[in-house]
Amino acid sequence: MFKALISLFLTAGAGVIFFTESKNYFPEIKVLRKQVSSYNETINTAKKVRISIDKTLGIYNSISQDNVDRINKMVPSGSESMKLVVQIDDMMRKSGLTLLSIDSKDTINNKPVSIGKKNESKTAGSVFLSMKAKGSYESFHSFVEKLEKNLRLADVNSVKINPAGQDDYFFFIEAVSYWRKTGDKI
Amino acid sequence: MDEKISFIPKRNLSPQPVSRGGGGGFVFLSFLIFILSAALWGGLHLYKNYLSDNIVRLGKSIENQKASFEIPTVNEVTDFSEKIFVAKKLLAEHKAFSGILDFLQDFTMKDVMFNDLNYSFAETGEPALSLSGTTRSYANLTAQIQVLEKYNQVRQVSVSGLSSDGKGMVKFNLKIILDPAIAAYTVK
Repeated sequence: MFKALISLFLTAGAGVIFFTESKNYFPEIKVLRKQVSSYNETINTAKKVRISIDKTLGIYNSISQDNVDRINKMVPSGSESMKLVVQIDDMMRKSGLTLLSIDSKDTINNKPVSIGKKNESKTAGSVFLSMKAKGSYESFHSFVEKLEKNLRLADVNSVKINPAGQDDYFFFIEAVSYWRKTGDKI
Repeated sequence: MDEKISFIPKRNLSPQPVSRGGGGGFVFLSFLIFILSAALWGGLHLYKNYLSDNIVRLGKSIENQKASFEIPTVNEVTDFSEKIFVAKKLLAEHKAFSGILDFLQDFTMKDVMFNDLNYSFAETGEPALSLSGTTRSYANLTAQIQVLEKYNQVRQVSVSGLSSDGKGMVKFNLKIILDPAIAAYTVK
């Protein structure tokens, strides 16, 4: 009788321990295991990112500062419209044209530059320029060539040429230049 | 009467009932179950603590890895990479108006003079030229149109506003639609 009681007590004790204590651990452990798995995945991804960053940094460091500066001039981080005006004025002077007026306007609608494979899209900000100049056709031709070879890219959208006198013309030019906003990514 | 007296007590050889204490097996089994249950509890508790510690350790490892990324440098490289991409695209679509001027210089006949020029892009993206000019005769104008039409980068030529200026010259307006390739920038 005594042994039966002990048996009953031990079995009941085992049941109580299992149902009141041990059983509660299972969902907690499940959640924790998931979390550990997620953290491990993150660490593996971070390792891959690290390798990729090291590789990219290696490539970046192999680019000469000269070329980095060229790219930054080609697509500056801001509209830098006044710098552009100064450049255009300089090019006109060197070509023998007289810059009569110039107006620049930053556009809100950015030019989308899409990446074919991933359907991602990056945008380039635009600066619209309207200018009026006077001079000979040869001077204008020389200016146009300088403008299209200029490191700061500018596309001529429209041109009007009207006579202004003997061998002189008025040139109305509308052009657009670009820039790319940069900032914190991570 | 040969009965011998022995100090060894006589025992009956028939089997005697043995008291085995019934239920001992059950007690052992119950004890085992109890121990297992307690061990499971302890094991789960330790395992949970181990997982929690592991999470803290992994979290620190992630933080350390993130800190080692040198985020300003990464941003600089990312920005530069995007700039290269944008520059490539812009350069591929870069326009050169000098190509149009060269075309006009090469295909304008001696007797034809252009006074006004209007260059823009049509809605279809094709470069369009509107020109006002003078020439000596309608025959000269016809020859000029034929020369223009023969060039493979001219898509359409239309003439309008034909009139005489009273000094023997013919005034005209020309509209020329060109192939976009003519205004594409190429490294010379």
